[in-house]
Amino acid sequence: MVSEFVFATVQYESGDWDSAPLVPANLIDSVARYTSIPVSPTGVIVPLSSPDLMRYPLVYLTGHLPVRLSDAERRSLARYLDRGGMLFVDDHNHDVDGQFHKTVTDEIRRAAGPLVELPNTHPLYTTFFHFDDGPPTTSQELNGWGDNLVHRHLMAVVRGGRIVVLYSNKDYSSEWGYHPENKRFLSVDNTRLGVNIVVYALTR
Amino acid sequence: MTARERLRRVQWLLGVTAVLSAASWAVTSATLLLLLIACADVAVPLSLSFRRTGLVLATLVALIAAGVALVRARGVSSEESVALWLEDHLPELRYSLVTLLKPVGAAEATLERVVAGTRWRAPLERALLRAVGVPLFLLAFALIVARMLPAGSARRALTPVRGDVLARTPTGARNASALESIVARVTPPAYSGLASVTIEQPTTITALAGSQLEIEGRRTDAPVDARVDSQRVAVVSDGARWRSTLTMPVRAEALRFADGIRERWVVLEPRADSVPVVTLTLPARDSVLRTRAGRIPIVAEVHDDFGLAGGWLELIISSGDGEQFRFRTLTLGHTSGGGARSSAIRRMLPLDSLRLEPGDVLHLRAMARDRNTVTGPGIGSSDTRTLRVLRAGEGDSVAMEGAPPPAADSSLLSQRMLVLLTEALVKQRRAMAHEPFVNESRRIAGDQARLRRRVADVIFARLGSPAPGEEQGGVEEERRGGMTPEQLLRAAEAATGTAADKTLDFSEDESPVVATNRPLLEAYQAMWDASRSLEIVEPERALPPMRRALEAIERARQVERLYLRGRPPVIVVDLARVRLSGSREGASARERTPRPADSLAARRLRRLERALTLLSGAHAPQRTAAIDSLLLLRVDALADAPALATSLATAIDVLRAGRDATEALTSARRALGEAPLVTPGLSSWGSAW
Repeated sequence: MVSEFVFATVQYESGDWDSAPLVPANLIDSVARYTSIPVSPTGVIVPLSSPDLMRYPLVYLTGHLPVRLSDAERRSLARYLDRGGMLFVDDHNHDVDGQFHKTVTDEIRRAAGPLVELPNTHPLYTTFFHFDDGPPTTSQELNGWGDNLVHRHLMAVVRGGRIVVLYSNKDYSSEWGYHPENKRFLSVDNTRLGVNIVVYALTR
Repeated sequence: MTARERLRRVQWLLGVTAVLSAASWAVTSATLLLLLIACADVAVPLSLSFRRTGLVLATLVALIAAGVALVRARGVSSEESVALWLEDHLPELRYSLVTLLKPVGAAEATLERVVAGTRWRAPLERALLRAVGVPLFLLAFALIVARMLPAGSARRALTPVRGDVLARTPTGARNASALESIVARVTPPAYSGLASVTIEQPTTITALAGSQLEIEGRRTDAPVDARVDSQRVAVVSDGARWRSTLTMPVRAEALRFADGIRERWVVLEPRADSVPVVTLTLPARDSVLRTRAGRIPIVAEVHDDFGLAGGWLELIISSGDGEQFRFRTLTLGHTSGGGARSSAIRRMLPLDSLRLEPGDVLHLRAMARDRNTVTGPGIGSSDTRTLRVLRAGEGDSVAMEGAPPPAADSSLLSQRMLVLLTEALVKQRRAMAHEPFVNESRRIAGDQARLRRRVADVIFARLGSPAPGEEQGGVEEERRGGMTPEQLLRAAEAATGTAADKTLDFSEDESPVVATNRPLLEAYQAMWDASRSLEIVEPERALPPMRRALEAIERARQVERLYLRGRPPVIVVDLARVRLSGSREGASARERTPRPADSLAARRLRRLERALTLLSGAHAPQRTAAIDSLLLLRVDALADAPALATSLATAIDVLRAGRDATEALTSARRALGEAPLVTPGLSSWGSAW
């Protein structure tokens, strides 16, 4: 039996985990549009401390507010990553020194290890679509919101040559936060990197 | 000098001789016993405990020997006995000395002359020689034999200490390996306050990460090579010893020694210094502040395994909403741990000083640092408490967001109004004519029915299915209305079994939709009861269910405050349309099948089986290789499979001792297994055979 890919958004006890409610549908739309991956038409919300976390190969975490995981959440996340799961974290504040960035990177370090810069030649950028210059720049970066920086790299925790935690402070949560019906107004679909992330999580 | 005075002097000399004799025999007997132990140790290496027991035994033997010597010489305490002893050894005294000890009157002068005429020196010298000479001769013999023993043997017997295995000269040392005997000295970091430990013939060294390890052995012609994970470790030669010094790593490693004759593995098993455990006891839970004034007590308990360096409180205040947030970070309440293992952080937090604005969120946690100066410092933190300041008017709202209750329909009377109308009707019953009374009761019944339908709309819209009975009226309505609240609830739960709702684990497996609807379902049922009573013109009987309905609606309002926050909108992507492959209705999501359990356990099982195959070999090198394989498997298991590591440690110790390790290896095999399978259909008793 071929199982469908289910896009899962992580619910954690602190902060605003539900700050980007339209991103899952948008990425599901893109995965369905460009790939033949069997995909569920709706995403799910999964508490970080729940054993159900293990059902999903890729989970998405975002927010603006400080992220303080409980012991149960931290243990569950470490176990999930040990067992081959992949966590995609996006800073909805697009900051390099904001509180979401500080706290979530601290939690990632405790659960999985320190983040390192992901080179722009990493296979993530060629897994499906090709991004020769690394991660695509978001309008949030270009219009000077957040930290007024265009971030050159994504960050990651890599184990055995495989990304287990992908961290972005480019604010893809804002960039991708629109209803998929509105994708037709874009000349270039800006969610293509999301497709790469999904394909990478499912194939590596 | 009179005869009595001479007698007393002899008595003193004989007493000294007895003491010297006792001491000599004590030293000699203890020396002989230790010599015996040293000789045995040369033939067969004796354990530290055996040699320590020998030392205690030698002390006991010395005391017994001294005691026997003193008992045998007990006669020196009596003048009469000493006088008789002299008379016995000097016959020329002719009992003059014994006689003088009693009053003899005029004959005393004659007897004194007889005694004065004898010389007592010779018997005294013979007594001294016999009492001390024999034990000293035996002592000298023992010392000569001890000198002839191999170097270090006497010291091992005389001062047995942990680590003196290297002092023993091995038999057949011509082609001996430098790894035959090794000793490890572990010096924990100073901050821990732990004492140094010496381990003989270590297979595993367990110590605090960062401890200094000094491993040494006997030097031979072959150089010793030491490696940790293919990294060379320096080995220096110092006289007759080689020595290797390293620091206990943070992760378990295998240390390999080789000298061309044999190789030897030592597992380095680090013990981590735990970070401080911080528990924020006050405030006990997250909260919403109605005002921005006042003081909040903060209490945190802090514990550490080796001592605390300090603790503090960390506050992050976030302001704003949507895409615009600002943050302020504060630290306060710094306390010194002073090296104590337990401490507390107490602070009153004045809210006025924080300049909070409506909508601000205060994230509060306690933190502590330990004294680890080697691999740390370890910093521990408590759970974070979130205190939010209410926005203006926020407390007046019934629903926060998500799925608000439907807007009030001005054409509908509220349940509270219907209760008031019914109460008024009951009061006016005696004054009213029958027909207007019936008409008024049925009018209220109609309003009650309309309100009930509106409640049904809310319930069944949330359940994701239409309320056919309410829309169609008639039979279906009666069927739905005839249900008990429990039946309705079961129907509601059956209707909410969607994947998305299942994922959200609310209280006791209850989906939020059902939790929200439970009081509304009660209200719905109560309204049915009220309508029936009003239709048959029994408004008194209608009032209790009407009040129950009102009370249930009030509870529903509270439930919505609790459960509806944070539910994002559910968007169902039309996959078929996106893929241009036809139509497909939004279906419930099926989770992807979990990946098969990692194959780590399978790989370890294969390694264990290979080691067991080697172990079954008849040759000693195969057994040694099997033990080394088990050691390396243990290093691999230490990080994430403690049960397996423990079983393997037991098996290795048992195998090294040459005993049967079946039980320990079975335990290791069991630790590698998956959870037992439960076969449905067989009772636990029936399947026992």
